Amino acid sequence: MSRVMGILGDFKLLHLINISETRLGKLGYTAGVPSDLLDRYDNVLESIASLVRELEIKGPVPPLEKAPIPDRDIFYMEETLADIENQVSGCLVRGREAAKELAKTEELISRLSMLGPADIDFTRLSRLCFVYCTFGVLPADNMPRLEESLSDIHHSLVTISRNKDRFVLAAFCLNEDRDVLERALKSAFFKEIDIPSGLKGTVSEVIEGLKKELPALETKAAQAREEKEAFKKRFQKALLLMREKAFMARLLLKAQSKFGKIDHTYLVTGWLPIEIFPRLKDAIMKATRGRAIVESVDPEDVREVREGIVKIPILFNNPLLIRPFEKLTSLYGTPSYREVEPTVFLALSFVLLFGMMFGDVGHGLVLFIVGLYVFRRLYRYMDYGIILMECGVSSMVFGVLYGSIFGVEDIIPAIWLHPMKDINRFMMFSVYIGVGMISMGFILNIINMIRTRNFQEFLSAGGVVGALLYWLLAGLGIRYVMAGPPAPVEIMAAKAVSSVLLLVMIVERPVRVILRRRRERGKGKSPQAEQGIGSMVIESIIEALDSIIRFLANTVSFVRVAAFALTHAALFAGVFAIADMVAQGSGRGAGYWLTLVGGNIVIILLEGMVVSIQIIRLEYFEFFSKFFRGGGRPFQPLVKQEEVR
Amino acid sequence: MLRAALKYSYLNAKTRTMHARRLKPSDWHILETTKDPPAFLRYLSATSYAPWVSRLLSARQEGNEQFERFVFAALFDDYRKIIRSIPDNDALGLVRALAARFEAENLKIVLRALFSGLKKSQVSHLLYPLDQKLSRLPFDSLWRQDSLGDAVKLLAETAYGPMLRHALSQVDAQGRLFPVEMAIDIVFFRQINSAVHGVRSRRDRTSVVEVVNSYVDVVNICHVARIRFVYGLSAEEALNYSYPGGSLTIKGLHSLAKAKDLQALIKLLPLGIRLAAEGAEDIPGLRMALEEWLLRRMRRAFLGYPFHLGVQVAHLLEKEIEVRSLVRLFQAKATQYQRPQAELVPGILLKSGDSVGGEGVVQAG
Repeated sequence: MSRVMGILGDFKLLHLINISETRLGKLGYTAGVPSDLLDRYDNVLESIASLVRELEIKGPVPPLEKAPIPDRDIFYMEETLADIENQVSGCLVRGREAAKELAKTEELISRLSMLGPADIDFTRLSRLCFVYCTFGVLPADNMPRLEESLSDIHHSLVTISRNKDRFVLAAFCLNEDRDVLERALKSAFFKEIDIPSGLKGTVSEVIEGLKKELPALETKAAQAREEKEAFKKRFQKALLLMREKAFMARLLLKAQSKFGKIDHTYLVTGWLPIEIFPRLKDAIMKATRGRAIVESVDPEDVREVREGIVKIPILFNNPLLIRPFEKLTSLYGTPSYREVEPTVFLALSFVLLFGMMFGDVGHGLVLFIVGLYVFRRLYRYMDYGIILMECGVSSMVFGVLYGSIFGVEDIIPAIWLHPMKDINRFMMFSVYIGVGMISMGFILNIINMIRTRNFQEFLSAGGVVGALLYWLLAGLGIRYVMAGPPAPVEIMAAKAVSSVLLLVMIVERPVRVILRRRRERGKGKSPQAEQGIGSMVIESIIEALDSIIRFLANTVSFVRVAAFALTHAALFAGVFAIADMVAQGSGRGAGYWLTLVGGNIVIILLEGMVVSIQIIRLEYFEFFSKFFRGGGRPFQPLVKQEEVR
Repeated sequence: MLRAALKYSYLNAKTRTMHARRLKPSDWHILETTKDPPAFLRYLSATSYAPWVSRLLSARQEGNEQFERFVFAALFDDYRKIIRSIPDNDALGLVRALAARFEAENLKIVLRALFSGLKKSQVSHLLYPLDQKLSRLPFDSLWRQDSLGDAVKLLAETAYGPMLRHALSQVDAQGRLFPVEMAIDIVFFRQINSAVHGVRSRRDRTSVVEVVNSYVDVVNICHVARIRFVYGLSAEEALNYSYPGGSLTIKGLHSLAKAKDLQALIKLLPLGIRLAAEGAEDIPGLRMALEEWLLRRMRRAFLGYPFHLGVQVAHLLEKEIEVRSLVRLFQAKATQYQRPQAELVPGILLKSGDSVGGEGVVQAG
C-alpha cells in the first residue's frame, strides 16, 4: 500500500473520491489514518523545524523528484535526523552558552556604567557592617516624597546621575532600618540595579576587567557561529528536502482517510485524466508485483455519478498563455463535466477587447514591461504578469492600428483608423464584435445542449430557433448598414421567417407539455397539477418578446467598446490640454513634462482598471450568460505543491 | 471683565442650566423610600436622568453593574457639553484632565484583566462608556495585547508610559498589580495638577485651584486613611502612594500617614477639614463628611463673580459626587443593605434651602 501511495504522490494528478461518501464507506469499510505513523512524522517535522530555526536556514525549497513511501521513509528520516542532531547539538549548545555569557557581561557593563559617575569602590562597600546599601533608578517626581518618607530614619540618598525624568541613586541606611528603606523605595517605584556580590575594586576597574573578558567571549561566540555556518551549509539541502518529504508523506497518510479497506485489501478510487491511466496502471502493477487490480470505469457506468451523489471534477488544462484566465472563469463558476470549457474563448475575447479599448503603443509597452517584471520577479502573481503582458501586446497592436504612441497621433500613421476621427465606423465595428461574440455564445450553447443531451431546450429562445432569429435580425441590420435598406422581397422573406421562428418559440413549450401529459396518460399515470396551457402560451409570448429585446440590448451593449476607446483618446486630449496650460505659465520645463508623465500614469491606472471591469462585465453578462451553466466541481489533485509547503 | 463675560456667558448659562437639573432633596427622599431597584429606576426615569435610565429599562438590565455604566453616562454627557463650548485650550486641557479620572479607571480594569487572563467580555460591564472626546487611549489595541508587559509597551508614548515602566518592575518583584494601579492614579493626579497650573487667566486659575485642591485633598486624605487602616501598609508607603497636588504639604501628608488610628488622623487635619470630619467613626463616615465639606466649598464657586472656569469644574465634580451617591443608594437597595441615607448620600444634597448652595445659586447666572 505504501508503495502505491508513493506512486500516487508521484503522479499528482489524482482527485480522490472520499470513500465515506459512497455506499461502501457508509457500510464502514474505510481505511482511516494511521495515527502512530502520523505522530512520528509530526515529531520529525518538529525536530526539522527546530534545526532549521537554530541553524537559521533559509532559501529556496528544492523540488521533490520522487514522492515518499510513508511507512518506509520514516525510518530513514528518523535515523538521518538523529545523526544530524548528534553532530549539530554540541555546536548549538556552545553557541547558545557563548551568546548568553556575552549578553550577560555586556548587560552587567551597561548596568555598572550607570554607577560610573560615582566610581564606587565595591571592596569598601563589602566591608560595611552596620550600613545597608542599594543602587537603583527612581522617577524624578517621586524624590521629594521619598526623602520625606525616610525622614524618621538615618539615611542617605546619594544622586549618582540624573536626567529629566529619573535619578540613579545610591540609598544608604542602618541595617536595623533596612525594612523601612526597602518599603519606602518599593512604594516610590525605585527599580533596583542588580549588582552581583563579590565584586572587587571601583566601578571603573570592574568595568575595565569585564571589558577585557569581552574579546575572549566574542571569539568564542564567533567560533560557535562559524561552526554553525559550516553545519548550515552542510545540512541545508538535506534538511529542506527532508522537510518537503515529511510534509508530502503526512499528506499521503492523511489521504488514507478517503480510502476504503476490507481486511487487508485497500480500495483507492479517484478521478484522473484518461491519458495517464495506462502509465499509472503499469506503475502500480509493477510496484505490487501484480497483486493489485487497477480498473478504469466510464463515469456513465458509475451509479453514484448517475444519481448525482458524486460529481465528476473538472481539470482545467489550458496552455500557459491561456491558463491565467482560468481564474476569471472560476469566478463565474466551474463548468460541469459535459459543458464546453470556455476559458479559451474568454482569453481571446478579453485580450482583443482590451486592445481595442486601450489601444496605444506606449501604454501597451508600459503594461508589457510591468507584466514582465511581475512574471519574472513576483512568482506568486505570475498569472497576473502573463495577463498584463498579453493585454500590453494587444494594446500595442491596436496602438499601431490607431497610430497612437502615448496619445501622440502624428508620429506613426494610423494603419486602420483614428478612433476620435472615425467614430461611427468604430462603433459599427464594436457592434459587429458584439454580434460575433453573442453568436459564439449561441453556438456554444447548442453544443452544450447536444453534449448534455438537453434537446428539449433546442427550439427555445436560447437554442437553435433563438439563434436563427438573432442571426436573421443581425443580418438585416448589417445589410442595412453596409448596402442600404433591404429590398421589399427581402423584407417579406425576413418577416415570414421571423414569424415562423417566433411562433415556434412561443408554442414549443406548450406543445412539449401537451405531448408529455399525453405520454403520461398513456402510461396510466395521472398528470401532475401544473400550469394551464393558456397561461403557458401567454408566458411563452412574453418570454419570446423579452428574448428579442435582450438580443438587441446585448448587442448594443458592445458599443461601450468604442465608447471606452474614445474615452481613452479623450483623456489624452485632457492631459495634453492641462500640460499646455502649465507650459503657458512656466514654459515647457519640468512642470509640462511632469504633467504629461503624471497624466499618463493616471490614464494607465484608472482607465486600465475601468476597461478591465467593463470587459469582465461584457464577458459575464453578454457572453457567458448565453451558454455557461456552471455547477461543476473543481479538480483537486492529491498533492498540491502549495499544500506541501 | 468684558472679555471674560464674552468668553463665559454662553458656557455659564449652559453649565448653570445643567446644574439646576441636579436631583432635589425631595427626589433623594423619594428615592430613599422606594421599596426595590425597579421602583428606584422608575422614579429616576422621571428626573433629569430619564434618557439614560429609560435606556437601561428598555434594555431590561437592572443589575447593579449596568446601572453604574448607564448613570455615569449622564455625567459624561455633561463633560461633552462643556468640552464642546469651552473657550480656551488651557481650560479644555483641565476639563479633559478631569475626565481622565475615568479613563484611568478603565485602564486599570483593562490591565487587571490582562494580568488575570480575563477576556474583554468578562469585564466590559465594569468599563465607563467613554468616547474619543473623553479618552484617546488605544483601548482596542490594548485588548489585543497578550501580557501586561506588552500593554505597557503600547502605552509607552502616552502620559502613563514612563511611570508604568517603573511600576512594572515592582509588579514583577511583588507579584501583584497594586503598583501599576497606584502609578496610574499618580499620573492622573499629576496631569490634573499640571493642567490646573497651566490655566493662563489668573482669575480662572484662582477659582479652579480652590475647587481642585479641595477635591484632591479629600481624595488624598481618604486614600491615605484607607492605605494605612484598611490595607495596613506602613507610613512611608502611604506617603509615597499619596497623590500629588492639593493644598496638603508632603510633610502634612506624612504626619497623617504616621497617625496610629483614624481619630488621630482626623485630629491632624487642617482646621476647616477637621471641623467637618470630626465625629466620623470609620472611613466611609470620613469620606461622607469630607464629600459634604467639598460640596460646600464647590458651591461657593456659583456665588459672586460668575465668569470663571471654577463654575464648570465645580459642576462636574459635584455631578460626579451626585452620581456616585446615586450608585451607592441603588446598590444599597439592590443588596437590601440597611443603612440610613445620610451614610450613603452627603447631607447637603438632602437638605433644602441650604445657605451656601440651594436654588439661589441658579439665579446667580
